[in-house]
Amino acid sequence: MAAPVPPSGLKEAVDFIAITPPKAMVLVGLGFVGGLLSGFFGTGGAFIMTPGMMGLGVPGIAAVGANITHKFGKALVGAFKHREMGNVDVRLVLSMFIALFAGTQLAVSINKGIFKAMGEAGSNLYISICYVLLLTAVAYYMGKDLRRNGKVRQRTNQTGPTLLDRIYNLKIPPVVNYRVANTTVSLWLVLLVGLLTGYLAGTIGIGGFVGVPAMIYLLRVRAVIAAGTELGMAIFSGAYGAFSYALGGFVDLRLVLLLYLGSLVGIQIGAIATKAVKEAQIKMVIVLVVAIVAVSRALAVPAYLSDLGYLALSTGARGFLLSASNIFLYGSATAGAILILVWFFQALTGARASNAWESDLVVHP
Amino acid sequence: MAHVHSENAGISRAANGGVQHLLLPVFLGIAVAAVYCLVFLGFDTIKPVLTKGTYAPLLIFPIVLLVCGLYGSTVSYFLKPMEQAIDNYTAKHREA
Repeated sequence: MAAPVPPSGLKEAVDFIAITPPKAMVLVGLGFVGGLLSGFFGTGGAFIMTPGMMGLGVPGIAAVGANITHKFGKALVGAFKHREMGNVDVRLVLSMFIALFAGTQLAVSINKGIFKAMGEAGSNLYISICYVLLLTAVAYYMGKDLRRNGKVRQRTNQTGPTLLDRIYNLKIPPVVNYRVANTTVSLWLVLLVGLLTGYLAGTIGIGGFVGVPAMIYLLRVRAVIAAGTELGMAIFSGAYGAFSYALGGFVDLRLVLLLYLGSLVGIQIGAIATKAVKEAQIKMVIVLVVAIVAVSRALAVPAYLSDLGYLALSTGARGFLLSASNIFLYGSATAGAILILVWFFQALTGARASNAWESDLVVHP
Repeated sequence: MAHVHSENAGISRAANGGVQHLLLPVFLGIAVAAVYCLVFLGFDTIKPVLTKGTYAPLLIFPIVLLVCGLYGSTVSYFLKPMEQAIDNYTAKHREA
């Protein structure tokens, strides 16, 4: 859900890289994996695309610019696909929208303050710590919930209401009914989730990793509706971000178009795959990806501490930790994408075996 | 004999329908390819507009929307049979 604003004072033209066929193929692949994850659980493209493009030699700001512009169109196609399947609660999108922007602006101000006070290493450290704490908390809670659900199914003894149950039941007026999401909840809670998601989007650039679980657990929205609604919000934040970066002259249109070649296929396969899986499987992929990304960021923390002089680390050890961090980052996306593809093709094979696949060219004399 | 004739006519009708069904995605695919060719082959021409920034959104947004509309529809067209198959399969599965 990130809608970062390009840093002011960066008006000089960026170098647009030469695109060779191997680089083009990598970009299409990055787009496909990012699209697959976004289509399946509403978020997950940005965290591999930006570092992936930077790895190809694209300047950081141009990578973010291309990613955010690409996100706008990808969210548009994904949200339409999910809406077609009845998975987007437009009312919820509109309710969370303003709070989301306020949260993003708040995070950008805090980030700028930290950058001024502690420099780039301090800013990297702050972002990484936020990543580790929040994503670990999300993965831990969701993992616990998945295990608990499994146990509840086996033994139907009910435990008392959890903290999240109590928060959900605090129906402070105005209380709004969201028909598509099938939830009746205090508007204040919706605004709080929007603010939190926006804040994290502005801080770590992937608010959806927290926004989708927050919708599932705090607002009691089904995972598939949370994914569709998240994509609905991403249209607006993507458009805003794309406009800001385009005005700054940081958008390389060729990168955006190459990402689309993969992502518009991936996002539709991801959305269709949600039909073939159970709610718990969607949550399982979120837990898996979020947990591995948290490990990836945790590995990078000592390197940033060493940059700030708080930890003595050799150049080799620093390089090793950053490489391991990148391996985990790409590994999380690859693992998630493989799982989604396996379920998608399993469903297709099942459909073929049970003759559910009816040819368009059936002859009716 | 009449039955065979009717069957052949049916096949022919179905085949014509199939070709007609393919016309739209083929047309969309050609349109997408044209947009990509224009951007990649004429990149040196549009680069000053992209890097200066002021008019960049006016160039970027229409192209992004065009590509998403054309390419998104083409992909959706080809994935539709798979989606329907999964729908039927999951519906049968639920009934069972």
